[in-house]
Amino acid sequence: MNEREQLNERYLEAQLREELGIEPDLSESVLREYYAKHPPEKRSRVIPPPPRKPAWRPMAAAAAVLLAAGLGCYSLVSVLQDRVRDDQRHERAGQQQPVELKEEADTTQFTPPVKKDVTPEPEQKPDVEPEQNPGDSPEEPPAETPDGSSWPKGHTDPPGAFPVPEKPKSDPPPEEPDDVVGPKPDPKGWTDPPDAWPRGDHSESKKAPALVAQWKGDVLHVTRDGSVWRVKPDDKFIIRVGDKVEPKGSAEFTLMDGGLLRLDGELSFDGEPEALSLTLHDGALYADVTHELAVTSERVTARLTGVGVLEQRLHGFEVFCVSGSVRSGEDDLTAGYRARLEDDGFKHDKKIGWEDVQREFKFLRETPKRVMLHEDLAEAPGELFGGEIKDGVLVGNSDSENGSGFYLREPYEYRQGDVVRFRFRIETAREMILQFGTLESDNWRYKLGGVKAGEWIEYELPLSKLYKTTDVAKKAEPGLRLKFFQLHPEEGKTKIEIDSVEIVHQP
Amino acid sequence: MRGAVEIEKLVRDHQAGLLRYLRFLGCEENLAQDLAQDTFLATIEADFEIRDRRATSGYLRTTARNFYFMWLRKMRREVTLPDEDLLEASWAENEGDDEGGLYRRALRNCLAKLSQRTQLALRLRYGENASREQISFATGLEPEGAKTLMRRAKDKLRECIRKQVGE
Repeated sequence: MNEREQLNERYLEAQLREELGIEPDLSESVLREYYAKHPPEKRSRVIPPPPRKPAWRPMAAAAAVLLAAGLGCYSLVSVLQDRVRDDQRHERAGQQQPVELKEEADTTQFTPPVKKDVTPEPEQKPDVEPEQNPGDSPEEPPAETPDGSSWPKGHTDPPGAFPVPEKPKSDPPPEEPDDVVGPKPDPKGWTDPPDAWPRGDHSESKKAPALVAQWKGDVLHVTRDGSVWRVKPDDKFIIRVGDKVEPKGSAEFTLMDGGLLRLDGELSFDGEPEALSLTLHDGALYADVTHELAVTSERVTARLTGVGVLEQRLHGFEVFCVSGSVRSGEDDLTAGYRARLEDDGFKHDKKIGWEDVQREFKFLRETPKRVMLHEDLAEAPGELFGGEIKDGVLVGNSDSENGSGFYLREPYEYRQGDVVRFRFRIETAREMILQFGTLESDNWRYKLGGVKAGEWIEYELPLSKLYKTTDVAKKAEPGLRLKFFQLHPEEGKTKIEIDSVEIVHQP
Repeated sequence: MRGAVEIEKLVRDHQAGLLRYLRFLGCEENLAQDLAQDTFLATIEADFEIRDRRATSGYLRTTARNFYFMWLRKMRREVTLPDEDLLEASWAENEGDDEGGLYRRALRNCLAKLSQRTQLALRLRYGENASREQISFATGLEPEGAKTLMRRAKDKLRECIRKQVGE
């Protein structure tokens, strides 16, 4: 083959790659790289720190004005009082000299000196300072209040007392919802000004419904009521309606109905627990949901049911529908396709598989797994058979005729992509059989093969590998309604201990 | 500084052609994408004035080729590339006046005429980057058989395309 033929061959191969492969869209990565080098001010994704100085300074100025006004008033009142007293003195002169002297002494006792009025009363300080002022202990996060009802109402300086801007330590302490751990004091020992914190009288966030049951990740930046919070997994933070979140790296959110989201970007939560409405501001969102999930960008709304990924683009979304479907207006995208969604609908459809999605998104290289059912056997989930619960383990003696297992709390309908994971130990080495019974009164099994004795074993099996006990050629298909789980040896007897069983769904 | 819309338009308009060119030079998939991205960034940062599509394509190809040569030098790869004139001539001949559109339509028609097994083998090779072993497993052929299957398929395609584009 000469050089020219070689080049023709390469051209054909280049065209074949383009025709048969998935063409990447480089615009997003080019823009990201370009703006990383030349950050535009308005599009900056850096979350600004809580507005410490700008919020504090106006307060200090206001306090100074109030102080000045207060001093003025007090001086005026004092002068007037002195004049009145002088007048009275003149009127009484020569008549009640000794008594008048006594009254003057009493009046002096009742009139506080100027200094006393400017500084808050000493007995009021303990209410404010000892435990609730994070400025006193900069290393410790602010204390949590046990519940919203116990928040101090009007927890500021007492009426009539003038604020003292020169001493920020006596500012009212930050007040938090019960489930929020606020920003830590900065190294200078200053905390955010009270206005930057959710307060007792700002109860919308507190009352707003929780939308996320739990989250996993490194650090989450949450914008709530205009303040930015830095939240760690250990913090008892509940994501509610109106929260805008941006994880460091990526984070996983388990929704109230068990749905799973994984986010690499910036997202706002809205709607109701079973009709979530999200806004994807930046990045990409993976979702595995059974209830319809509405995700909006500036121009379009995608409604996803099933498993899919939405990537924010300049004019809409790049949509990857792995299973289920994604709707937008009258248009929809079916499972196994990716497409660009803009205000005129889906376009540039291409066939994809989960592997393509993983290639496309680094944050999905580790496959997300949604836990559909989990039994740690601390208690009997349903009726037990062939054993009993001891110390969080189902212990039983089993043979080829009688298995050890349990009925599920409620029948579970097998979905494409489900995997059963269980941890167990047997006393005598045996070939073991896993078996599920269904509502349709048939059994589906899988032969685990030889299992070592005395070792805890974690076994993971796609439910698609199950076959019908009475017809080994028939494979389990989605839709089966599983009602019990059991293990037993294929032959002989053994003691079985089952520690946990769970079913997870993966794309 | 260029606006996001302008940058996105530049990339969208030219990424397919640029990736095709880098693959034509011999870049494997990931390298082609990396070099294409570098090429776009360099072009944007150089404030290249976008006048017409053909000139922009030419500029991007030259930049991409230089990046590829730099990468080969850096990696100490000894790849003998044909003379630049020959490269450009072959590229222009295959691309035609419509950026390879006619060629691609012919390719689609010709692919459809191949057997299912051959189509599967090509899809695995060029769509999925599958290894020869994987292709042989999927098609039920020995690895050598899979190799032969694909060589014959490409011969057929080349011949079919040549007839369709009227060479």
